[in-house]
Amino acid sequence: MRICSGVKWREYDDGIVVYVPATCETHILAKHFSAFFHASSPLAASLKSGAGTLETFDCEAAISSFPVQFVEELLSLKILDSGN
Amino acid sequence: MKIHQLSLAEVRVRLAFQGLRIPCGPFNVSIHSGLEPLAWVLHKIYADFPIADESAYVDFEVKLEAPNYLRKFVRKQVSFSCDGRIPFKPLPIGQAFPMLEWGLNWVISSHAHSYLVIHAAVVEKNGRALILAADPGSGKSTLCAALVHRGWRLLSDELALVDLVSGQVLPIARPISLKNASIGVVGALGADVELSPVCHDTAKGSIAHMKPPAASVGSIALSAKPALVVFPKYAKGTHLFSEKVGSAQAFLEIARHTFNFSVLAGDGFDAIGRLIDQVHASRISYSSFDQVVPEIERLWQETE
Repeated sequence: MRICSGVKWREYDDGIVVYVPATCETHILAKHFSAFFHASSPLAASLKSGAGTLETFDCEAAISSFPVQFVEELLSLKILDSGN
Repeated sequence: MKIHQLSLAEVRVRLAFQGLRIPCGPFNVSIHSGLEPLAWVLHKIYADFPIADESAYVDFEVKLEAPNYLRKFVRKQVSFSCDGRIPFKPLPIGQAFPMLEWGLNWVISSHAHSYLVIHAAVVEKNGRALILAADPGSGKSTLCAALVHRGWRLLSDELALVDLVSGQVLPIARPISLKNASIGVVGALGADVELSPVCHDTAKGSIAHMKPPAASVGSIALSAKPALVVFPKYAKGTHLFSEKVGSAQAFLEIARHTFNFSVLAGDGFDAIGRLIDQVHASRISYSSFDQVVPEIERLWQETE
């Protein structure tokens, strides 16, 4: 399981806006994804809203604590890549 | 020199030969055409536009002409081209002016990739911009015309150009496009409202254009800082409904209305993020100017 590189995100009070380069689509995710994005963006800018770009790395261990539905949603949006 | 300082005959000659060079937002456009009706409407509706001098760089050469020899005489038609490209099918010659306006919108939205190009009207007060972003048919241009008539400066009725670096909104003060019932509504705003002749049976119904105020055209170099985004929706007979829109929702709405979002990709995402960080956003449904204008003024005061 890998994080897809270049995914951009910005966190606001009413959700997290995510841009996925692979699909050229923009989505709103619920706030409970916040921890995932912060943990996966080592260069997250310290803006008032929180923002960053995801870095590619193997995240099998990192996401093992998240619910299955959580991972499936990120996979369906191509934010995560199963590698298959 | 401005267009109204030329006689109609001089406008015709420029259109037919060297081109009529006018600013179109941050660009210079040279318009070429031998079509008589177009010269007359341009002379009237673009009267306050400055004419770029001969040494000015021309970004786009646009031509409106008959698509072929036959169509100069039989069921006359007009075709729009920009730098040799023909983006649309020909239209009846009576639609030459709307075709020029649609063509200029296409030119900007297809080429201005140093900017976010948002499908939105923009008006300005005290250096700050109100962006009205909406789907076609939402009453955006009609509301824009009403605000302009009440003293707001027109930046654009159709395209918000947001600079990717500075975040400022650049003016493209051009004629305001009005459809169907909006033509009468805006015409009734006052005797000072000048409209082009109505073109019937276009793809959008009946179309007329409101002449932009001279003060707005004269301030074409003055950009504005975004302060408020409103998503307006006209609905006949409805009560006023106004609600705040969260930043994430506003972000998604603006992205949806941005013509070149897929071209700009990550840079567009960052630019919309910076825009959202500096504006308030609201959604308003209304059925009359008496409802919506005071509500916009109230929201505007909250941003000050």
